[in-house]
Amino acid sequence: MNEVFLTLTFIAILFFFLGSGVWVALSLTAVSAIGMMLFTSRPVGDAMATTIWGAASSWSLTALPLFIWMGEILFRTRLSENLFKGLAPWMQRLPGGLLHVNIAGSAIFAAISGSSAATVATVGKMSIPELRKRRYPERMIVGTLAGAGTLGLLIPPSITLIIYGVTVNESIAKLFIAGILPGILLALMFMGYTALWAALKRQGGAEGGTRYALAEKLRAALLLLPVFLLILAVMGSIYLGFATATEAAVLGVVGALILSALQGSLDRDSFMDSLLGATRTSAMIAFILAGSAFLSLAMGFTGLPRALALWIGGMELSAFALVAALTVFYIVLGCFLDGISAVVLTMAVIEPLVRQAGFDMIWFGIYLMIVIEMAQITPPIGFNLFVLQGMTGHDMGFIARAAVPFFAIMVLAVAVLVAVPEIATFLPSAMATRP
Amino acid sequence: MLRLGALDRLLLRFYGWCGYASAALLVLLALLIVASILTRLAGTYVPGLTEYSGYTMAGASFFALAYTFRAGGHIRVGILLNALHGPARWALQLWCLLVAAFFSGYLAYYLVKMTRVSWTLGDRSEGADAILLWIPQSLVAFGALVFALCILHSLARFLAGLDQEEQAAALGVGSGEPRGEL
Repeated sequence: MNEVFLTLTFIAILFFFLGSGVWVALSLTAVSAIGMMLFTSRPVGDAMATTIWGAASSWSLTALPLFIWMGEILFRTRLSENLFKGLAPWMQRLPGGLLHVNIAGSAIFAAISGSSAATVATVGKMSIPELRKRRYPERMIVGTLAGAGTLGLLIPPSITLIIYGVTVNESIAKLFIAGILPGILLALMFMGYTALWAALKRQGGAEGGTRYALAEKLRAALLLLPVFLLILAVMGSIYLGFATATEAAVLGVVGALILSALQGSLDRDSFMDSLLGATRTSAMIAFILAGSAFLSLAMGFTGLPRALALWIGGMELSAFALVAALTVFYIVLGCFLDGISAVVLTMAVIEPLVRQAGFDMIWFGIYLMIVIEMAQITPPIGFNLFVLQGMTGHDMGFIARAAVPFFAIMVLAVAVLVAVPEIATFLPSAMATRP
Repeated sequence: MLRLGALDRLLLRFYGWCGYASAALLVLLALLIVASILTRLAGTYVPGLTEYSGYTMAGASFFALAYTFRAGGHIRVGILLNALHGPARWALQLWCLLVAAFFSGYLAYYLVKMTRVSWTLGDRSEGADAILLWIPQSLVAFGALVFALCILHSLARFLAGLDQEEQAAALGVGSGEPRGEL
């Protein structure tokens, strides 16, 4: 009884610290220290120092700052413009027309950047004014962008996927490869919905749309060639086993610098901006991960993860029921926490449960990304909503309502992923690994 | 008072320098990885490159903590903070800074202690690098110290009324500016 009371106190303190606005990384550290004092007589401070040192200097984490840097470099190029110009001629004649540029553009940018906020910002910078000029319905402009922007988490390289991999100690290379097919599937589902919507409304598509000759289309595609080559080089080198995730990230940084130089957007200022931006973001994330390593240690002493795993195991839920319960749990949690904190906080407790239930941890990572993506477009704390609010001037409620169909599609995607797990597990099982 | 102002400015600049040092370490990290790829292609093996990359990563992260804090880059849950106004908001922000000051100090104290113990015992890494552990650890300990100092400094600035909104920059609130994270 005393144990239960202590555990509840521990959880309550955790939510109190986080909720009152104490910085996430410091909340984790503080709560873990308090938790260890409650549950053990071990020297807390020393355990904290070694755990945090170990987590911060771990080799698997090195992919993180490099992929962040790569995204920061490309964010500062003319990519936004090129994505629109390169994709528009191809999408023009589809039902739904240029709305598809939002989705395809997001999918492509997601493949070079690990962040969904950056994806929304980069694609939207060019497409929002262009689509408005062509009188596409505002609700669909915002909705497609909010929905498709979340692909940044699923399509590799994904910062959140790296964090998951580091937290549960699974291969980041495998996770990345596993994200490819589900990412493409989700993008196609978004596009299918948009086309269906346009066909039903007889709207979008041909209005004022010029036909493009094939030569023009190919010339447009040429704008995207460097980006495609970069994606191919980074993902291909991982898939073929030439490079670890970290090595592929360096390849990506070098490629991004070359691409940026070729476009003439690389100068001293943009280089320093990208580097310092990467420095800040990776410091923030590395500190959270270090804090979460300490939290896992403290959680272990509470016995909560083991008890929860046994309890859920004892209920003999079907895999489907468990996934459904977890999905609801993550959507609710995602209303209050950002993606990174949600992954880091819950994996300390949920990892044993998931392993006990016999889930493939690679598959679970991909599932988790889609569920966390949903949280990015649910109010009141949906990161993509904030970004879009800043970019379009609409209020949160309008954007959230515009995103509802895309939220529903993600729920459908989770169902598909549960029914056909091979979508995530096939490619990683077929990939070459470096000896 | 004048001297306090000078100290304030000096410290703010100092966090920026630490940010630059962290950026330099990030570039070093990239170079280390390039070196490991090239040496592997050349068929030789340089022991310890993996471990050095990890240390560089740790150093880069901790050196940038203070700089990131001043730039509003550490995320927090801002719902409550943004719902409050006036004295209530001030009190909550004070609470956050007090907690942060105490635990960043706690962290810095024990990281310094760990480094000192490694130094006295002459601990070496168990990896192929076999480096004296206090060397990379001191980077992390130093970064944590600067971070603790920065939070104390921010607490002082907050109490002096210099830092109202700047540090209240909560999770994605108040600016549509994407920060390229998450």
